[in-house]
Amino acid sequence: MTCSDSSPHHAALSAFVTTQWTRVLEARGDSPQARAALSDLCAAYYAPVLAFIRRSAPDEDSARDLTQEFFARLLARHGMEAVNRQQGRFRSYLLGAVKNFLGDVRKHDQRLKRGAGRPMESVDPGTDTSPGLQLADEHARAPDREFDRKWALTLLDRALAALVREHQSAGKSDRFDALKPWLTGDTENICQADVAARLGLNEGAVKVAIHRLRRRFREIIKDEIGQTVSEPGQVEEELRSLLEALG
Amino acid sequence: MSSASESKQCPKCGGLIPAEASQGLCPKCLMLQASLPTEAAGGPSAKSAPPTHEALAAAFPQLEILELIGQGGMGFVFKARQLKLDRLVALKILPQSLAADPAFAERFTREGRMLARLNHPNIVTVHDFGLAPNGFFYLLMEYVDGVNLRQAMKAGRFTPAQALAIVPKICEALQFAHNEGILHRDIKPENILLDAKGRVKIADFGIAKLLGERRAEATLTGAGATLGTPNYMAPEQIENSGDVDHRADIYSLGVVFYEMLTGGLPIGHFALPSEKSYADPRLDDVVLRTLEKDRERRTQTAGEVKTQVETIAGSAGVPPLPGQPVPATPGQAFGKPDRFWRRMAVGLLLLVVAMPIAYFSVRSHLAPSRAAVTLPTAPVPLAGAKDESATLVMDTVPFDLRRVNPLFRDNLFWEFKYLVPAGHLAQLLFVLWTNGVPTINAGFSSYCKVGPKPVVLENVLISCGSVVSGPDGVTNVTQWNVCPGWDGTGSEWLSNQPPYRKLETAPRAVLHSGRQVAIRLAEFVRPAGTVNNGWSGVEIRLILQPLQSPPVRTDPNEFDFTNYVAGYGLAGVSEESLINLIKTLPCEPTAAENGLREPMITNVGLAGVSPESAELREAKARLAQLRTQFTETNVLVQQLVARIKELENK
Repeated sequence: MTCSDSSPHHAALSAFVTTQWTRVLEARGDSPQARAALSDLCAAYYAPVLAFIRRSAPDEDSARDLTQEFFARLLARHGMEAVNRQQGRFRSYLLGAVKNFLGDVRKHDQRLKRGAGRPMESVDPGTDTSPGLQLADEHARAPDREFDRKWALTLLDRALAALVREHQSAGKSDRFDALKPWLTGDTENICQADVAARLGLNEGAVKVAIHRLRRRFREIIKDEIGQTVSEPGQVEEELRSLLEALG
Repeated sequence: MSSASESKQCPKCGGLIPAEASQGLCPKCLMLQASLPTEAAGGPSAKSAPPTHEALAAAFPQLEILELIGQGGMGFVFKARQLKLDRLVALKILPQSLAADPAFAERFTREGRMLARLNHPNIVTVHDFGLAPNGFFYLLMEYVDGVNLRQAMKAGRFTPAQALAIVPKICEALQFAHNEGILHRDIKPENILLDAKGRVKIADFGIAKLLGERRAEATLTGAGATLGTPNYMAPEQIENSGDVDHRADIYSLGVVFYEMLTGGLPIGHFALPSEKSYADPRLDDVVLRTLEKDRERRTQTAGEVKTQVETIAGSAGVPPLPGQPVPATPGQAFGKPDRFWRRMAVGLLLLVVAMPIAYFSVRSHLAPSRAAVTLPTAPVPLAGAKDESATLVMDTVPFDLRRVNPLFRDNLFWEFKYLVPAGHLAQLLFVLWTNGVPTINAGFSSYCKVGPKPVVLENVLISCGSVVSGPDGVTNVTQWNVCPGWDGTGSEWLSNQPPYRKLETAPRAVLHSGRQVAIRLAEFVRPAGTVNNGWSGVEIRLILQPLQSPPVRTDPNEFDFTNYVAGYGLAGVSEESLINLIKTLPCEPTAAENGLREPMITNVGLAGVSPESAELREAKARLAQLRTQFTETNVLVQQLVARIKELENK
């Protein structure tokens, strides 16, 4: 009957009624809560952006600088006028924003190089107006794919970290370490009986624990995804996209 | 105990676990687990796990087991190499629980022999079958390097038109098996494989029956699952699986056919394929007859279905299967006005996008090209082109997605995609208006000549960047970017422009006499009582024209893709014809005031000049020279900047 009786995830679930992304969308990024929410989301999904930028930056350092710059601008502007609920997912939004950002950086570089806005002498527009064009190849979409893949990995990482934290606070880290191989499905490499003996449980209890661990993992994943979409119905769709991204 | 985590390879899916994977767990399997419905997932009565590599290696010494490529109610399928023959094979391991059923071994032997006799190019061959020493019932089958129909449909690599090429192949295979007295009993997209060479192969003939009898027994004990995939099962199969004949396969084929055409399943009161997908209306009847609930009224043989489909396909021009060579001669895909094809093309787009807001037909009205201004090997014989209507669908995305870049809130940013139907040229013209004079900017324009498969050009970006407010409070646009969508990069143009106002509403599309669409992007405000020396409007125009021969690369600057050729500038279209086109669609708000004057084409580029011409060579040389100068200047500037910084730091 005490507060500590309620399982940690129930408290967490109730907090997800308004998700971070919907909070950002509703206020169009223009309230302190929305800014905080956007900031949290950006911090969580730093890695995919870095991975994306890394594909077009000359080296790791420039990629990090550019990524910092990107988030700094994104958060400083908090100008989300054009963002609306229909636009759906935070993942798509962030990818679009980072593409625009890179495009602008590129334009900026070219602009300086090319006379800082002085009228151009147009001779051969076939090439003149398309500087730096590269022939498309089959890897042209690789940065997008890498972004999505990294996103999926980040999501899994966050969900697993949350699971670890929950087990730690409940003093059950051993149990998590022993049972985590079953998170990827059934396994024959490890004998449940051995694990049961090690944890001091009977085999039935191990089966139940595995079942609960998986169920909790699924809940966390879905909650995490829920934070980044604007409609509950988009969670399953996003999950499928992310599964494909890992394929 | 921790042996699993030491291996870099996932013991379940056989894929490599990336180094960055959290907790050393396979991300793919984790995500797959997470996406399972909560109720059905795992739990104390979890489904059986795939046999381990070690167990398989011990049971099949003649094979090198490579990876798990599939799993389901019918067991596990591994890709393997048959060492002696050095060929790839698929090893299907049936559920291990079968070993407990003594009657199964006998039935398996009986059925296995029949299946091994099924020798047909469109049926996955069974090389061997049996019971391995450690209790695995297995089938050793031909390995098909490709995807199944479900994957093909999902990946979007499958066009509805290809249904007409694929269905007859399925019919042939079914008819062959039915003649041998073998029913498939579980025809569904997952069992229809498309190999890398574009061949159709049906897998798992008869397996459903083999396992079904067992499941039926299991059902009596209350532990069994539903047999097969109900969505694809014939009514009589659902009611009484004991009383089915070859016509149940025909029903399942009908469901697959319907799904290929429409993307949906024929459940309840379903729409006709032609209502949902622009399929040829004649196909409705063919599909409906395979879906008759009463099998007596159903099309009676697979051969009949084949004939009916081929008759329609023959009169509509069937595209080659993926992977098959595109016919080099005009005719098969380009020869005749092809309404059916076009509708298929639109159907594809309808599958891709949710709700097109505007679509219209486009007719070629272009004046004959002037010989002097067409490319030497004119790939687009517009003169004499059939007056064939084509359909252009502007996606919803373009206008709803018009958005202000949140990073640079003063900027304008539009994105849209458009469909180019098979066998068409799409010309994307960039038109600027100045005091009633439209100017086609060839440098910003682009084109795409599409072959036998329709192409959706996505991510067409038009952005107006660097809107700056000067000291006098006048807003200037300094830069436009157009990215035609096939290579992800943009072309740019720098210029300082007069006062400008962004359109408060979405850019508007102006439809005109079904030939072209103009998308008004922005307007430039002219101070009252002044004459605007700069632009007063910016438009993108899309024009579709039929091609009469497959697109070939005629210019080294063109991008050559398997199904289309694209380039910047103007396709081999005469200046005159373009100007005529623009004249038919004046969209300039001040045109009436100023009177529409002669349009111009700037930055003509290659459109009016032969690639070999001395003029062009000279221009290119001059450009190269300028570039060198720019680079040199740039280096100089950079050195100066560095020096200034250095001094400042001191």
